Amino acid sequence: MAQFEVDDVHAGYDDLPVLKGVDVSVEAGEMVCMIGPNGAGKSTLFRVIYGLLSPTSGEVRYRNESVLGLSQRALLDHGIAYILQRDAVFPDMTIRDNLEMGAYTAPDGYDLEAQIGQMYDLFPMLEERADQNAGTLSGGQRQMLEFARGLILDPDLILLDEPTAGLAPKIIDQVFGKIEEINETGVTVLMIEQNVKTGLQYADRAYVLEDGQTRFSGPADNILDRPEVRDAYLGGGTDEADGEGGSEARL
Amino acid sequence: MLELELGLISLGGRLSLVPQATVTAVVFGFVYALVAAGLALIWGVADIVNFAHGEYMLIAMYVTAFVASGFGGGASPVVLVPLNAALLFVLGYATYRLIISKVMDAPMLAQIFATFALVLIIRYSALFVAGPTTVSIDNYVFEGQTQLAGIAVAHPEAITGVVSVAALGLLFAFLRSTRTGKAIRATAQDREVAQVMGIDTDHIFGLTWGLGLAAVGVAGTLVATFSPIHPELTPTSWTLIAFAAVALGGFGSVLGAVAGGILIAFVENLGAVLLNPSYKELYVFVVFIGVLLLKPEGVLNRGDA
Repeated sequence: MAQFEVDDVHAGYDDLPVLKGVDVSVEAGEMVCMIGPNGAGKSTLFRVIYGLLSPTSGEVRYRNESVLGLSQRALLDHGIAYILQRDAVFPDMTIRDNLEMGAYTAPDGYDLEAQIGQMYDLFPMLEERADQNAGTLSGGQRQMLEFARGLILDPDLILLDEPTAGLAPKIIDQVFGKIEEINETGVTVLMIEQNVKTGLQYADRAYVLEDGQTRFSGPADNILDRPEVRDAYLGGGTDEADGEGGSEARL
Repeated sequence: MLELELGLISLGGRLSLVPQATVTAVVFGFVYALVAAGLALIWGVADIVNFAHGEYMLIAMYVTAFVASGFGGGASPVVLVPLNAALLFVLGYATYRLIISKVMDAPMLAQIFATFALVLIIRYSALFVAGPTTVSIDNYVFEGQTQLAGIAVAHPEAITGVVSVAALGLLFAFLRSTRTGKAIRATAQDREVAQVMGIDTDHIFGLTWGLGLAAVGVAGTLVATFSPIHPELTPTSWTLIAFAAVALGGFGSVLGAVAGGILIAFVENLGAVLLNPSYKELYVFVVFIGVLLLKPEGVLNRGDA
């Protein structure tokens, strides 16, 4: 039984369909990478999963229970965290306060100080700059803060939205190193990645989304060997209204 | 020659009034700052312009006058400050839940109409209940004045200044240090990200309206102890002052609004003694337009709630 399942989800904005039947299935402890051209609907799928956009049809299940239409607080209580892109930090709040907001829905008995301490152990850079506003951090540092903020409630599944978008190649390896580290602690990772080659190098399995549908899926290490995937991927790269940033497909 | 002399004497005479005007400016600066901070908070967090800001202040002022007239046994404004703050907080929260939440995602014009409707409803309800005449509180609890180095400080105004500073301090401490205050700032910076953190942004917007109007409740209670209350002129002039302060301070920045409020009080009071007291509101708006032309982002824009 898969830990997390997306079943035939359709969704869109103002009569413009973006998702036209997406199926995703993730096993506990897996690292799964979703690739596809800009406008394929990857970010839209995350918005649906996280209750920020209502689908027109379809189902999302976590541990065999529907989580569609739940509040973000309820999703966090279930152990599902959504880690946004680096621009999502609160720039005019300190790193510490950003982390505290990550733990906003913490249950009774939660030890905020201990958890913040754990995040500092995982990302020492954050402790050095704890009282600095997040807006003063570099892109890579902000991404680390995003990770810490998303991990502070000890989630079981994280949705990672383009963790390396706009980062320098050297930083990208560091970021993936951290993702791998997080995954090895047992956290299931479902991520959207524009840096296809690097993403697939670290992931267990991959899904190719195109034009709002799941086109292919398979083990990450050989999905690019399939000519149709290569064609589908190279055929994309145009800017469509999906807020997925620049076309940085590296193949 | 004679004219020049008269001019010098006159200028000297005016300069001698500067210390007194400065004290008045400080006192009014703090209360302007408090009213403007409330408007800026709502503006910055909920991204909505409350045109009825002065009308809510009117409510607090009438409640104060009503109590002072003996109905409530002449209760001290010291008691009324927290009471009116609580009353206006509840009114603010209810206003958000019942009216504003319905237009949060509506076009700006719908939002403007909604708060403008509040202006009309509150103002004419006040006319209906309290009548069209000016109400003044005479001989209230804080009478008299103190002479300090030749400067007269009227007690009601002095208390207004001190309590306004205390209220501003509390507001800032709340926003800086409490979990809810941080959630308010987080929501102001990015509503959707705040939602992803599990913050109930609808509740936060309600709290913001409550806090913004509680500030006005404190200010209204204090100002009513020395300033006459008119159902139309009073709210109009206070809304204008708050708008000018918020614009000067950079729209939506609470700290900026505080700076804007203090600046306005200084321009008003120093302009009155150095130039002509009849035009004191004109000076405020000359400076206001000047700032908009030269530094439209405000004198102290930090983009932070």
